[in-house]
Amino acid sequence: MRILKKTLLVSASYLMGLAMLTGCGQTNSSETEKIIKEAEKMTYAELVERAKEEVGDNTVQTYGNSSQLENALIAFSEQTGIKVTNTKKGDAETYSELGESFSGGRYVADMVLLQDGNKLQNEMLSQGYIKNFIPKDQKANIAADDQNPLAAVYLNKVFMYNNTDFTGDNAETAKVNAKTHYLTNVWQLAGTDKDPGHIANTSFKTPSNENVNMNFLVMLTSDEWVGKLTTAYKAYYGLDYAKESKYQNIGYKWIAEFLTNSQAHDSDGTACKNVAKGNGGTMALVNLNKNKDLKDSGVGKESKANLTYPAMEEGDNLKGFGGFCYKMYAMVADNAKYPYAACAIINYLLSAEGFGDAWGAKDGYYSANTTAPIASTDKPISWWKERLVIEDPAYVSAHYKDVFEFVQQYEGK
Amino acid sequence: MNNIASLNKEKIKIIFNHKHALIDNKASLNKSEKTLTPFKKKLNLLGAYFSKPSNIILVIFAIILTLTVVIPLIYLLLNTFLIHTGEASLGKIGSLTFNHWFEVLFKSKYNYSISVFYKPLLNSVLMSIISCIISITVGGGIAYLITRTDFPCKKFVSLVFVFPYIMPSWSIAMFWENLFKNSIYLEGAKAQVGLLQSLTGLSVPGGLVYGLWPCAICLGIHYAPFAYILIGGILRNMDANLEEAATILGASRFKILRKVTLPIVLPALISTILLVFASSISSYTVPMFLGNGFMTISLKMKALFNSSVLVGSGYVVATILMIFSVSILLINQKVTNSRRSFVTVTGKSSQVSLVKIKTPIKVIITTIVMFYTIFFAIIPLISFALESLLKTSGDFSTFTTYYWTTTEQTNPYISGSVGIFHNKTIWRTFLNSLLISGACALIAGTFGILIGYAVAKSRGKKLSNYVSNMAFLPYLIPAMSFSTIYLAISTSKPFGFLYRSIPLLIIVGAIKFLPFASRSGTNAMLQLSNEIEEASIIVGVPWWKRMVKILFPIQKSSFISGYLLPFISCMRELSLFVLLTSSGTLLTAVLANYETYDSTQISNGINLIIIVAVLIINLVTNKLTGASIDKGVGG
Repeated sequence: MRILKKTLLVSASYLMGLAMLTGCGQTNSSETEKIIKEAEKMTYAELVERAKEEVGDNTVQTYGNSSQLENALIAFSEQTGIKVTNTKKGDAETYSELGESFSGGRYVADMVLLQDGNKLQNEMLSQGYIKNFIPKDQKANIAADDQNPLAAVYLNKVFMYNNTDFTGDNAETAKVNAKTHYLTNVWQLAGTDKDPGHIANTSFKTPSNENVNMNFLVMLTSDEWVGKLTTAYKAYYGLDYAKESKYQNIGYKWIAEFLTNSQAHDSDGTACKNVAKGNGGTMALVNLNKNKDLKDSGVGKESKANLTYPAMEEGDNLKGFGGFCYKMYAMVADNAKYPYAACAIINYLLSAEGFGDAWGAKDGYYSANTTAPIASTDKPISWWKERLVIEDPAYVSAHYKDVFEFVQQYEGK
Repeated sequence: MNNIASLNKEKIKIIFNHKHALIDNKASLNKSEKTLTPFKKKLNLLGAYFSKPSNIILVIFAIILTLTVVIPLIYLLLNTFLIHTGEASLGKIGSLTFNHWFEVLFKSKYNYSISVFYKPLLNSVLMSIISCIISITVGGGIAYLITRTDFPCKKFVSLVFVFPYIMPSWSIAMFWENLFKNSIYLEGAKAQVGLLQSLTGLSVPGGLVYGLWPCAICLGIHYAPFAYILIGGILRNMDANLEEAATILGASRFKILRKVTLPIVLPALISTILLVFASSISSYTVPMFLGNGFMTISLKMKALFNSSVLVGSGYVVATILMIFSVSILLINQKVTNSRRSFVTVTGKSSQVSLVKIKTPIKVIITTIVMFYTIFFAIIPLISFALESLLKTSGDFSTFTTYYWTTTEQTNPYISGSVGIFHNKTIWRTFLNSLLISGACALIAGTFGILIGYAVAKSRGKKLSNYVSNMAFLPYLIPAMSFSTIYLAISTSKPFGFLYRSIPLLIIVGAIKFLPFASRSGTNAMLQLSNEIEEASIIVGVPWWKRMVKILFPIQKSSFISGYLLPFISCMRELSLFVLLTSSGTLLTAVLANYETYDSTQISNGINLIIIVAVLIINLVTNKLTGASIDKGVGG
């Protein structure tokens, strides 16, 4: 026992020493902020010139969990001659690595492109590890609520269902667009099978595994969405919602009933394919960009034509919401070695050219710069902002814990 | 007979003389000790202590393992009492709190404790018990058939049966899902036609496709070779004279099995149960693939870590899981220590007379075993190969070699995603994985032999027990927690040179997979009779020569096999390394990237490359040295 105590004491002091050593590695944050203020007054061309001087023959480091980002960085490098290396890992690993490195005062990145508003707020912004930069060239075209933290790219997850009577064996029997008004109220996805038009087994990636899905659920408890859910409730049941003691508000009720009704999947891509080749009426809430793996035309297995996205239907058919939007935020690391270069990259990503190089021609990606063109088959971000739940990092991080704990009782058998 | 008798007489004479010399030395030492100062006495004692190589090894490894294993454990425990970055609502970040423990164990709001701890723990325990039963029944049964009966096709079965252990457990889960999913019993997006339904029209109930049972069965299949290795090792090396004696005394085969074989195998059996239980309870990927809402403790732990605001709760769950596993380790130790002797290599004859199975039963058993082996060991490999050759998954009319041979980009989201044969990233990371796994195996294997030697020589002593337990503990620490502490260390200034370096990966891999090697080394050393080394000590052979020229050659196959298990584990590992390396270093990380972007053909191809590479290395090692994976742990 005495040996154990001694070992614990020695180890604890070792750890404390380690913590003290790691805690004193912070670089002067004001310097980066000063540079950002200066950079916000510069055009893209000026930024690039300054970045070239700053970087020289060295390499700028970025972190971003997006393969498309790498395409944009290649184009940026070709255009400017500035060398860039990107580190791409899963969300959880990216945040862990950045958090540990920044808290240890280690330089690992100049620019980061991160998703998940909760972690961004809780683990990065609140610690002052990353700083906001708004590019001068694009500021006028970026909505005010996308400027701080700066949203570079929007992504969406939308309800989609199989619109055919396709049984899986005979493509001839499939009827394209047979059910355009299948989902008209989000309460169809909650409740029980006794409710009219009830839709069971919506496929949804487990929110505990997919943080942006949890963020969507958290947003439903906000005043804005409580109001919209209450209206939709009345339209569906013909009654005013009577508050129930087990739910803090109607948002919690929808979450509880939706999770009870839904089934879990582990990959949005697979779920999208499964809906496209599944039975008529099969429903899922997945990334719109996952339709990239489906056939463009014709009717048959895994065909795009087999899918209907209620939020894309013209008119105001759907009460409630048709899915949700989340964002990828582009920020400058507080201990960046090349802050001008980081600002230049962000400026490039927010430009129509930069967005086009990386995400432009694909469904399901939208620049916060409203002048940047999107895929011809898609709807503009303004369309989606009216119909989908939009992630707000400040609200999500403030209410995440309570909703996360609430959700646990409905996740898993 | 006369020769043997004279040799024995000679040996007794040598030992008698040696003991006399020792007594004389001791007497003269006692005399001179009286004249020494207390400091010199202590110095002498220390000198005497360190004159034994096993003690030097124990002290060195006690220090190494304290630094590399104990500190992560303390880090884990310490984090259960700290307020983390995302938990600012609880107080000042970095300050102490008991809140995490309270919330996990007692919080009643939203049934929190039940939802995040008690229910998932119960599910995990249930899943692990079932997987234990399956792996012991199947693995133990096959081990008995191969070592103790005249079962045919022994070579084929013993070679192929270990394949599911080489494969990552999630690939078995994937195979299970592809095989049994159906549109009859499943609903929503899960209602898809699987292999069984498309070939036979038959469907299995949903509970056999997703949930507790398929998770437990897949884990059972994955760990059955592990049971086979452990139990088979003991059965193979068991002193046949005991069974021979029972046969001579007229005992029936069943009675011999019950009264002789089983009691001897019992410690290995219990050891297997406990190890499979500990592995299953912390399994993450299988319930993630096949759970479909079936929540286990490992899934919850990951969710808590991932939440940012409940990281402390995640550490509590990880610590409880650790305590659970350590208790299992202690039970295991108690059980194995109760066995009086491990010695099976004595130089005496151990010709085993095999049980003859009656023909009709033999045919039935052979059919079942061959079906099982081919179905779960060969078919998944074929399915990986096929999936990499089909444009549309499951549609055999879309057969193509495109994903292996094309020089075009196969996935717009992954740069350089050309066909596997031309894909530089895949082959570069494959080489990296081979080198890192090789280095990890070399270190872990060598450490394992040294630890095994020292532990066997000082068996029962405190330091020996400490080193033995510490060498096994990394097996029980969740990979994620293990790599987090090493990430924290490598991002700190004093150890900054290790950040993202290959040596860091090698250190972490070697320590994490040391348990396989140390267990293998200890078992192999315990099987060696002390007389073998004593004889060489008497004739004055130095320690290193005894190790290299005598001990290693005798147990060569076990030791080399001890290098193979860490190698395999490293080759298929991802979660341990993902935090510590850049994204394009290891092949498993590349595989995960292709998986994320739904390039199933290339991810299946990479999976196939990993498994085939491990199999080839195993076969080559087997041909060159006689060692193989199936001799790794059991000795």
